[in-house]
Amino acid sequence: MKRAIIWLFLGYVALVSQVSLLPIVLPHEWRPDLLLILLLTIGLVEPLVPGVFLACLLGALTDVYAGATFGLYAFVNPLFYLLLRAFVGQLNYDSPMLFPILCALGLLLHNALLVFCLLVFTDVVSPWQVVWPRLLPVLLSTFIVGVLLASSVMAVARGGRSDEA
Amino acid sequence: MRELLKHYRMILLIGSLLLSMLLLFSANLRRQGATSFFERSVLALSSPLLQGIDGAVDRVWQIWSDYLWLVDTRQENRHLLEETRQLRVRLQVHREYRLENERLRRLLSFAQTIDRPVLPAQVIAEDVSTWARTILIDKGTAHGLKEGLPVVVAEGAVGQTIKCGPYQSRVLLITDASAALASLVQRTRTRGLSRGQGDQLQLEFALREEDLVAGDTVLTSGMGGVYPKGIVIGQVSNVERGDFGLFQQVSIVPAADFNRLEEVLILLEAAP
Repeated sequence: MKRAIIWLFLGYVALVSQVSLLPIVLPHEWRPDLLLILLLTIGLVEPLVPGVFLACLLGALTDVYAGATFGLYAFVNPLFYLLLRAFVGQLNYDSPMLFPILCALGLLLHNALLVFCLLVFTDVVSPWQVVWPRLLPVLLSTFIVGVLLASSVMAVARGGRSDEA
Repeated sequence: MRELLKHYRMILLIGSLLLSMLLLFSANLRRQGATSFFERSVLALSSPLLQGIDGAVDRVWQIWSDYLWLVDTRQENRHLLEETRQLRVRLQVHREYRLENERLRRLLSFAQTIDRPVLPAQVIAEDVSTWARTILIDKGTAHGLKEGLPVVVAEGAVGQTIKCGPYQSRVLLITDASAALASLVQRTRTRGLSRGQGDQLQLEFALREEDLVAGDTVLTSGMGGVYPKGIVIGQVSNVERGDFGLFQQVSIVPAADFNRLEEVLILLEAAP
């Protein structure tokens, strides 16, 4: 419970930074996806069941500040989390480039899931056209933040893995 | 006689000296503009000495004041630096006030052209996602807001309120992919539907035979029930007519600069 509160608190800090602080210092398209980075960290650290709930709660939190439809991120985030958990056991936690690469690939997968859901469930005509122009800068900035956070995140992840074992 | 001179020698000497000085003074009173040989000689002789003394005094004073007497300098330097910093901050604040004043004047003069009550609001946050285009404003239900109210700036339409909290509301920008507003091309009166495409809009359902050109102004038509008629949406940037099909492809650049939104106006419902 205590860990969950810490994760949610971190999620809120990341959210506020992303909507209010980062736009002051960075152009729109260069804002890294801090919430996705947090979601990836949860995916590497937390066990399946509490992780899915956390992903869902973080998604709901994100929905408050994203788009017009509440529930999109609350649905996509646990879906993304489950996909991540499907192959997280195969990953080499000692690789220094694991986390940045996960950030980049995770961003692509997360956006693909979002676009899919927008196409299937909403009246948005061409979401990919909207996502595409900003994807590369966001990918780069998220990758850079991933590089910066890699060592500390992986240390926490290795701790979480040994706890699980 | 000799005895007498000897006796009054001192008095006579002083008297003759005084007399000669008086004569000298008297003589010089008549030619004040001229410099005597004595004066010239004394000035010439004393000049290097005086200059030397003056230079030495200056040097000593300089050393004293610049290197030795520095008791308050550090304190004063710190004080001046602090003062400079404060003045810079105040200058920056004044500059911001001036710019804000200009923007608010523009908004106010625009608000006077609208026959509905308006409420100014400050943009406080942006959308967290990469695909949606929404902003957060600092007014909510406590200020009389509700979902579906149009939001504008002096340049044109911004969006509409979609989620309202007590003191904050989310505004869906007209460039969001899920936003669509009934539109009218000002010159040709062509009707259509402007749909957001991220950073631009697309005018849908504009018939192929309509004579639309780049630069045409697109306005709200007042048909959708949200925006009043005549608010500028943007300008046509590109028109494409295919070989077949009922409609033409029309791109619109929004009039409002969504990267620099700071203050907006919410058009409230007119009192019954």
